[in-house]
Amino acid sequence: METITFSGLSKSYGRVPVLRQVSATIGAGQVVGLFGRNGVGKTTLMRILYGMIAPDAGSAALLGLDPQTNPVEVRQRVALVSEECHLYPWMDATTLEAFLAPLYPKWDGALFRQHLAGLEVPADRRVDALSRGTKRKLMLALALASQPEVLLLDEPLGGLDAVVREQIVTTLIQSLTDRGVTIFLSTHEIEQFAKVCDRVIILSHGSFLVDRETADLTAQVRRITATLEHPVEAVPAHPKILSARVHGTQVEFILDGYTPELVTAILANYKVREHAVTGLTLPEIFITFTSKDTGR
Amino acid sequence: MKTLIMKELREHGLHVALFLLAGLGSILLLGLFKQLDHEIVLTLLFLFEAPLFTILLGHHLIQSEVKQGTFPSLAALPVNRWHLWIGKLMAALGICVLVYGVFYGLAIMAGAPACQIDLGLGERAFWIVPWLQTRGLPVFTPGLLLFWIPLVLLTASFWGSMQPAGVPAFEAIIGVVVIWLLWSQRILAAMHLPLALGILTIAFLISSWFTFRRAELLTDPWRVGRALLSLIVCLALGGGAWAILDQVADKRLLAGRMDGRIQVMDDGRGVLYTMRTPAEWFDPLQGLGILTGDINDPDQFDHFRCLSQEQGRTIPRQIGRRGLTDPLLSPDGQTMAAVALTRAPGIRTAPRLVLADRRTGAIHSTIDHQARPLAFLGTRDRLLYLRYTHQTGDGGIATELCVHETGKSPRSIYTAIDERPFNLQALYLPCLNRLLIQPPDRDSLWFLSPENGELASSPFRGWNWIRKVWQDERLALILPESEEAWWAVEPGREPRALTEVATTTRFLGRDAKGRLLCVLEVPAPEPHGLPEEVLGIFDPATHRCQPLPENAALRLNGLICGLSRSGRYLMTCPASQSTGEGRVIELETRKEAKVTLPREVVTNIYSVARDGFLVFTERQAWRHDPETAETVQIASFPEPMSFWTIESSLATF
Repeated sequence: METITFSGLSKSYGRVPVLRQVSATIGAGQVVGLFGRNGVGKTTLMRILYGMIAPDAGSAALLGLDPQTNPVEVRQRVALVSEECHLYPWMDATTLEAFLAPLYPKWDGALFRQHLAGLEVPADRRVDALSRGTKRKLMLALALASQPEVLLLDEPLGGLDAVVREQIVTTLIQSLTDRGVTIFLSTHEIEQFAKVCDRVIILSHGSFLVDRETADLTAQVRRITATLEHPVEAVPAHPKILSARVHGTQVEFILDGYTPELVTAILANYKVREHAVTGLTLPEIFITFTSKDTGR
Repeated sequence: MKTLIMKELREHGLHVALFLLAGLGSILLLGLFKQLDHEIVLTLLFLFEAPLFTILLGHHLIQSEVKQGTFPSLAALPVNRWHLWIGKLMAALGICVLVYGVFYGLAIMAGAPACQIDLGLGERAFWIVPWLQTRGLPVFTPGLLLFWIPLVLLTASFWGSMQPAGVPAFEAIIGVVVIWLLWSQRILAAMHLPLALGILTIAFLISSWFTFRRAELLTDPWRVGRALLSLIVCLALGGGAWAILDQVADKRLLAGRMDGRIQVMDDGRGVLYTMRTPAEWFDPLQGLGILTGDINDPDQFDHFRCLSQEQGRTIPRQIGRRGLTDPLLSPDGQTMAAVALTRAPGIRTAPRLVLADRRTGAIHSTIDHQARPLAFLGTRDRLLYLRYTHQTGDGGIATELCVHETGKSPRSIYTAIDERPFNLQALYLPCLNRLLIQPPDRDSLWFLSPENGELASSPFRGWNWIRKVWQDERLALILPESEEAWWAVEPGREPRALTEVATTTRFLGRDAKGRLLCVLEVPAPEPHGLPEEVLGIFDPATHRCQPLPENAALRLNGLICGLSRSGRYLMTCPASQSTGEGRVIELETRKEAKVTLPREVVTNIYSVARDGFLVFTERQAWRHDPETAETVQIASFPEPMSFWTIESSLATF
């Protein structure tokens, strides 16, 4: 069953388009990473899905509910951990629990205190006395205590130390997906989340450049390095070549949709002494795609 | 909802505590400096501290969220916007109730009288701050101070708190300027304040809801425009509701009591008068003194209406809008001078003296302000009126007699200055083209020229001294109260006492030959008999009254008499008896005709048209035309009319 569906979503701030008719469907239990450069609209998409802002066009549904027309029910079942801390500075964790618990039908106080202990968040210290990272951990604990069916994470690792990052990325997210919680996260920490994301979406200039299973992406995007007999000026153009570099007799290009036959076809007009095919990391794939995209 | 309200209460708890301490501290300071007067306490607590707190609280409701950066968190809660908006408002109202309640207790402790707190819908004033009242501010009733003003301040600042920083301050400045303008024009003092504040409150609430609901994270720069536009729409709708209520109140003719004089119009086919009717619960305006336009009686919640009753209509007809009062018909009966109290729907302004159409009440022109008509001086183009003007400096009030002439500027012909206004009376004597007035600093009546304001002494000792007046263009006959003698006033001669004319003589008018007819007492024909009343004639040469020989057999004992303007007919009705009958006698032929009247005591017979009579009984007015022998009812009055009520109305005295 699709837990997150959006179709043709568009949003502009004044004359600046941020999202241009983006569409996707995310199934239950999936972990989907939304990657993009600063200011491309990741947070905007998160807020639209959560019903905090309205799109200019298009529709969205979480757990079959429209967040614009059913915001209360959506938010009782979907949690959003945003990039910035919007907690009341005068409250502490205990006060926050007293404030929020009545609003969520599935609130689990014991689970909240368990997460507080696990993430080492003091329960009696005011929010404005917490460090940035601790605030983020508190926000995470609050979100998890409501036992959401869908978790929207906007830069979930900001300000966290390496130990906690690892804890969140591997242990926490794993346990959530084991329970069937769908996770849709936006982040710059591509490398950190590469190992847990089932699917990758790259947002650039308002559109989805990439929307694929992680395994498919890493399998299909490859770097080809070839040594030629004679130096060449340039690599022949091909729609599947994402980027290319020539240095004397060394030719290197990144191919989307790698197959040996395709490599052979591209190098057919050259006298190739030898060539190698290597994989790219997800960050490298991200850089390659976003560097190529100049906006349409 | 409960959790939202509790959160607001916790968030503002410190502010509440500080304000309560400030209130208590200010009271203690007053006590320390021996200034603990309950009027000062009321002013300090309810006109400064509590309103300031209310404004800050309202402004803080949303702005605190914006400044703390918690509005997105609030917007992200699984609570719909309606609950968020209501929760904040409910919490703020609860806090205000607490603060105002404590301040109320402090005021009582400081000596303010305890009062029943209602919503100001027609209640009587209880808390009055005199030094503000003298400056023309509305009377601050408990309902206003403790309910309506805090409500409108809270909702206004709540609305302002949803707008970008700096904009509410700008809007507040505009609001203060508007209030100052309304105050300077006395409009604030003359509105139905609870209703106006209620409309404002609703407008701010709807506008704030519209802004809050549509402004997603309060980052949209167009929310100011939306807020202002929605406020304008709401105020327009509120204004429409106000106008509708005003129309409803205007059309509801409630039973009331007659106030002021009765005017006869259309040759006796109608009468015009002022009716004082109680205001509806949605209609009362702050009391505004009719004479001076000052707030002098907050209990005045009556409306004045100009009504006419006419032949062929069974119910009275309102002339013009309510608030048109004190009508005075012009000699030709087509125009009336009146006092207009209402300028805009539901707003009573300082009284204006106007000329209006007698039939529709449509106002032609405004002659002056804070003035009322006294008399037309012979023609419709000359009007004598009374005007009140506040004097700068010592603050006294000038009472002026003024004359308005068509095509000319009004001129003042007499002025008296004192702390309080005078109710100057004036009697116009057309035979002399002079006015009789009693200057406040004199003990007797004086002649005053309406042309140049020249004063000349008269032999008459004062208004209480005059019992009756009969006059026409040639002669004025004045009867003093002390029953000394009638006095004659004529052009070219000094006023003289008519020692030969009995004080029981009643002057009727001139007959067809121009002779002045009267009813005079003659000795009884037999010894020890009662004097008889007969028709007589006043001889201007001898200054005596003689019985009319040709009507010697006409006995008028115990009869009220009226002479038609043509002098041809005499109408008589028994005085003090409700026989239901009258008589009309054609003087030349001595033909008599019976007139059927209602079985009520006849109080006055007034001549109308050429030959007609308007007969006033206790509660009715009937018109009789001797030519056609037709008798029709013209009016019925809500309360019994005495002889003196009609007499003083119909006479120019």
